Amino acid sequence: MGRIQHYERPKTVEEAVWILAERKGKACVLAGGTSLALRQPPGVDTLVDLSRTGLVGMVDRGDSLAIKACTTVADLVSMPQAHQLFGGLLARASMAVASTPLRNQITVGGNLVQVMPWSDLPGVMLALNGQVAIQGQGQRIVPLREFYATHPRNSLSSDEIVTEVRIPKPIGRVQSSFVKVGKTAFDYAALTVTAVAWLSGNQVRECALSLGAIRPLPLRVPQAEEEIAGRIPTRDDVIRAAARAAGAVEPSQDYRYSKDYRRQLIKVWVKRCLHEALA
Amino acid sequence: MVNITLTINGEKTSCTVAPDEKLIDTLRRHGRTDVKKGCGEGTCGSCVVLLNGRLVTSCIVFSAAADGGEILTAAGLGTANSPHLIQTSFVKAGAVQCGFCTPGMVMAAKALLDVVPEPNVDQIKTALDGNLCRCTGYVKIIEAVQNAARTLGGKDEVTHE
Repeated sequence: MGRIQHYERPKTVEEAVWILAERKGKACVLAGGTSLALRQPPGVDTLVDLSRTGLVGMVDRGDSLAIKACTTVADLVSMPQAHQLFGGLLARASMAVASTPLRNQITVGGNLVQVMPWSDLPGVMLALNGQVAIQGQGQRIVPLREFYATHPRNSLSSDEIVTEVRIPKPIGRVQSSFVKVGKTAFDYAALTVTAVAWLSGNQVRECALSLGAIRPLPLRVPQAEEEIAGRIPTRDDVIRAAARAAGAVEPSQDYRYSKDYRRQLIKVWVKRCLHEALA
Repeated sequence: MVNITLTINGEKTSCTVAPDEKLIDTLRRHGRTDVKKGCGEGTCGSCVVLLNGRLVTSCIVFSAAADGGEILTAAGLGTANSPHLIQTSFVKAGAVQCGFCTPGMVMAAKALLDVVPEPNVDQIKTALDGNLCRCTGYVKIIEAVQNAARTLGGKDEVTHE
């Protein structure tokens, strides 16, 4: 087998942080394990299993809802709030994640921290103005916009654990749309689009548009958002927003999808997604 | 090494595992060879088992993480001499060709029917979305699950047309 020599099962987050700090970069957090099982980070000899630290469930934090990091994607789907809030966005996006057994294993925190280009939840949480709570020697709260400025594996220190993601509670009527574009239901996404509209009457008070799978990290597209926010958007506004999104982003290219093809995907799917979110 | 206890098909088993050992390897080492290793990376579903009632791909579950858990495999569900209704249903529908994916399919069906006793076809397809079959094209597999649901619910079977 590999270089992993030790397996720790801390009972609290504090204990987990203490082990991580003590092992000085040689310990790695284990949540759902679906990434870690396939690739162990270099130099790691200790796994720190978070399953007994109580990081499961949803908690009310006043003006935000906190989804604890070890909540599985299937757990999230089973929560009524995932269906009721934000036009059912959390449930819809969660059901797009991988497959039935993997949704039982993948955790919300793991999905946000490991963030593969095709991961579904990071873009959704980014559109919802989510923040992560990070526990190390102290606690810090980081907006996902900042969290995804660089890959979290580069910005989290070796003794830090993401303990929850906080989503500001919806104010007024909120409508949304999410789409995952791939060749089959189980395929890695070629593009994910999340559109969220916070409404006052017919007017869009605030609009969020995020794209996933087209760059290594998910991103917001303010150029498209500003075409929608503050207006009662027309069909032309939506078309203009989609065109600006396609122009604003430099898609990654790989052997399956060229840059131009991805750009075309953005133009078409942002239009459809915004249209649905504003309907 | 890590000492763990698993209840496998109702039988309490003490195991000593490497810290990065995967559940499928522990299960097969303890004679549970009805759990099949396909892709080894959580994609094909041939290795799925119920861990504390939830369907998981045992090839990417760390054995140590399953400590204290209850595991049900296809052989724990029923045997050749005394098959479970789901297994009988797969045989009757001919929902098998090479058979390698079948234990996983049966467990995915079990996980579904435990929660949704009367699933529609879409629910069945979603429940089996993590299980690949490279032989049959899924038609008879879906029919087998439909029939199992109907039989378990005391209704007539759907016949293949």
